[in-house]
Amino acid sequence: MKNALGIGGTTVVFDPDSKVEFKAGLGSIPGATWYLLSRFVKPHFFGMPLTIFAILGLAWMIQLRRYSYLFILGAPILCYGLLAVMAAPYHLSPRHLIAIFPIFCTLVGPGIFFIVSKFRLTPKWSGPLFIAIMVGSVFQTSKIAVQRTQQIKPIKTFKPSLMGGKGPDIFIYDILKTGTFEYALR
Amino acid sequence: MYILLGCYGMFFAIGWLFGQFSSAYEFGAYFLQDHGMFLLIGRAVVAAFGVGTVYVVYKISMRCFDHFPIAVASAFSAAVLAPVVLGSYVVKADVPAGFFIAISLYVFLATEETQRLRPLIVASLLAGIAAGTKYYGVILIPVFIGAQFIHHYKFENAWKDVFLRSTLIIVIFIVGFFVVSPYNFLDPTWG
Repeated sequence: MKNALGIGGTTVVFDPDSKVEFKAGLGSIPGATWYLLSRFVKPHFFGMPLTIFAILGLAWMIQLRRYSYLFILGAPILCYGLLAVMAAPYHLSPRHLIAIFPIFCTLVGPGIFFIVSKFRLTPKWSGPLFIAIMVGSVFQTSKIAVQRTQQIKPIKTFKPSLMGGKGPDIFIYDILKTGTFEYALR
Repeated sequence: MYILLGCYGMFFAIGWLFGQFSSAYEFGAYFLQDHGMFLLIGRAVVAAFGVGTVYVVYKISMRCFDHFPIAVASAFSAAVLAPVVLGSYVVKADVPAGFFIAISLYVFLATEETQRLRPLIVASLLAGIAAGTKYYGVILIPVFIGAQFIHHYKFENAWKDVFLRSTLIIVIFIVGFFVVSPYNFLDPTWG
């Protein structure tokens, strides 16, 4: 039973994606939770600014006493986190969290509004401040999105045979020199 | 996967209508010779789900907070978020699964206003579709059932209703899961 649950850590597991070696079982949960949280605030995941605003959004919902909405938006995040650290500890990449990022994004707007409302400004100033914080909070993540997109270089071009060689050029792209090939029309 | 199959089927039908493919064998040979168009179609489908997710984030925010600037800020953060942007041009199931989870939650939010069964059934079906797309969707089951317990106090629903609604959620979820990924049930070797 102890071995099955991995209490005390009997089996050593290596996750090749994260390059982390850990002892399987319940004992891995605290470390995996910390790993998940520390990765989550990284710029190429959700980023620290957006995480702070999402948490503030949750806090605002508590202040508004909208508990049922809070449960519907907060519980999936909690369930996903539990599943991630228990079913696949230390196995994490940004795409694995795409399923819950939209829920977090839903909380960013109220978080920004919550902060702006604390300044008690007139609408003339609160609107620009809201926009400034909104743009500032996504600056880092959007910069990464643009940079990573620009790094995609065409390495080969050809005409699609379907159109008798008369169609638009199709470029084969090497995504970030990882060897993953993607196609795009130009 | 089945959505992609449908899109490739449409591609074949259009090619067949315009005389590019005379048979399914020729279509298969075309895929082996030049699969660029297939990847393009796949990417367009995933990107469409990414755009759809941004709109659903806006709708969820509007339903929860009923405030236009808040909803726009939420949708804007989803639209420029690096993992969502980068995930939206790779033919994988993550972005579609995220879309189905988000739209399922959006539909489920309607149960906060009405006790009619329709939003519950549609949300459970979409949760099943999300799980069939990628297993992440299973996280919605405890959320939907947990909400029924909250509704017991909020709407003073009888415990019998809580039990029946929770059972309905599970049954409809399984139906949705089966529809989009039948071999999870039919093939014991399915991984």
